[in-house]
Amino acid sequence: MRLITYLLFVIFLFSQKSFASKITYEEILDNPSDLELNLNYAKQQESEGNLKLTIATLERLSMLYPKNVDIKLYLLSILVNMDSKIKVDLMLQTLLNDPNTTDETKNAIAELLVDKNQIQEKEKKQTWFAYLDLKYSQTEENNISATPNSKRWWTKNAINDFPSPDDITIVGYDKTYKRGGAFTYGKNLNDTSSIFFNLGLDINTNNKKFKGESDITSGSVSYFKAIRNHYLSPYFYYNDANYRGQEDYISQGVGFNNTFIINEKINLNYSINYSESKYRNGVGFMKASDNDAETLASNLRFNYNISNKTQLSAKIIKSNIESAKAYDGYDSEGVSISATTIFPIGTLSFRSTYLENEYDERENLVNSSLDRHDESYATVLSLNGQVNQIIPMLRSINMDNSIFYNLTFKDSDVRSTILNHDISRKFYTMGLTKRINLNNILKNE
Amino acid sequence: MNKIIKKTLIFYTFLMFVLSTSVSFSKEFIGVIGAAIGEIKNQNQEILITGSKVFYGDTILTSKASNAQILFLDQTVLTLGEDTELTIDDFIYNSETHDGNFVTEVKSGTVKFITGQISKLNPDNLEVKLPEGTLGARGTEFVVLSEKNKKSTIVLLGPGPNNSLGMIPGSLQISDGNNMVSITNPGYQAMIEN
Repeated sequence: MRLITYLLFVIFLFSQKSFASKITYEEILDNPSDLELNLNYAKQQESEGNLKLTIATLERLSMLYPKNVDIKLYLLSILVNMDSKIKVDLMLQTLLNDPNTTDETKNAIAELLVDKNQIQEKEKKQTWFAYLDLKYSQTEENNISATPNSKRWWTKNAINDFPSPDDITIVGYDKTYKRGGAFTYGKNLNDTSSIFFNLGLDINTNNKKFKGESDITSGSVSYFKAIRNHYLSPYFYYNDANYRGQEDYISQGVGFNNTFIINEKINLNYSINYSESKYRNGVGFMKASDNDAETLASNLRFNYNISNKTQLSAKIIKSNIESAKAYDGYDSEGVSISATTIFPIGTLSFRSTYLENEYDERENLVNSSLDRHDESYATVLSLNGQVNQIIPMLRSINMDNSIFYNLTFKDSDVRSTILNHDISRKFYTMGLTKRINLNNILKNE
Repeated sequence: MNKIIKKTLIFYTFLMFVLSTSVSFSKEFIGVIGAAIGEIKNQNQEILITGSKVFYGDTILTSKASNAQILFLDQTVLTLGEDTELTIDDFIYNSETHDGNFVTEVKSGTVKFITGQISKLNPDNLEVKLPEGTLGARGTEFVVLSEKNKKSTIVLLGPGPNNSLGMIPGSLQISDGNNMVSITNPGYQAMIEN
């Protein structure tokens, strides 16, 4: 039906002895009210993709020739594609209040809008999206080798001094650099469900510490389904971690997550996850598989929206880890509270988590007389958003708002009955992510 | 014969002097009134009609039940509603590089902006002064409603982030001198009160 509107307009143009040579802006400045010239100019600018001038020209002609409904219809046919409801509403209001608008014109408007809605619905149904995230981040850590607070530890039932930092195997302060990429493809299956596929690669290197550098490949599939106020999401993931100087392993898991929207202010979220880690035996790591573990984790989170910019959350956490080495297995329970608020410079989040871990068995090679019981406190403060929000002068470079920043501070304090695990650590992370929207690239092609 | 040539030379030299003087003293042309409906005047109370020129430093006033559209050399287009007063504080534009600077002040009334080449090349070079603050714009169509020395309301009209016209999504940055807010969704508005 939109075609009919265009057709009407083209007939109108020809009836006005149209289509001359290329019209310049200077000619329009000299003849701003010439109907034929300006309509041809509007059409020319539309074909060149300069729609702002098309809109401005048609709006001018609407002012000068208020009885000409074809101009208004032409303008409306452009505005419906502008993704601006307010513009369309204003134009509709003008058209419908105009005494020159005939019933025939009203029908043409209705057809145009129905046509547009059908296209949008079709696009919505068939919508797929894909993007590539390129990430770089740097984390500074004050205790990367996990030196106990007392600088002493149990070994073979005796307390000894923890090795002093040598900046190779035992390191205090260090930096970790992460470079990574992640490809995400999503598809709306219907009005209430969608599916996502994700593939990623992260390369982590340390400034000093030899062990612990890694490259990790990962993949995941998740499905979303909305049923009334429930937003359900089962998922599966797989990671393959290749470490330098440490055991390599794969981990895979399945989980289920549901958010239940009670009302505008309150929602509940609960999730359950099962995962297993399988270590690879190899040269230098003949008993790596002794570290194999299975984890069953669950949590229940209560979210309260104070306003449309601020949310408070409280979470109960419960998990069980079964390890091939029984002394590494434990039950964990805890709570977490968080607050998130949106500022002009980005989204600020604060989260504090308290966990108690009760270990299944004593580690006899460390201390055969003490049960291990850990209490951990973790506090995370983060600010993230678009770089344009904190550095407005980058707007001219980051025109599509596709570069994101992240600043995070984390403080981890673990108190344990076993000195070896009585450790405090601080992390400072700053990262940048460039998101490349593949939809635009593929659509343009 | 020599006398005639001499007189002619003197006459043309004088004429060139007068013309050059008149050019150097005339105000710089920066745009035209693209549409004038009702009574439109400038600061000298001269009536402006469709096709009238707009000059550097001009103030444009629309009366009740009147509205106008101004086309600027850089393709910025302003549409003025009734009872509006607008001043062009600065307009510098290089038509070859599209570089320039555009500062305008909406003293009262309603003005709709469709940004042009100056803003396209460098969004920071378009500034709209309001009685209570300022705003900057990118790729944008927006409207300013200013109540003299009371409050200004700024509404982003578009284009939206999902427009299918290949247009750069619009965004506005509005400041009252102390705080700044951004608008990126069409239909959203900000208000600055005195």
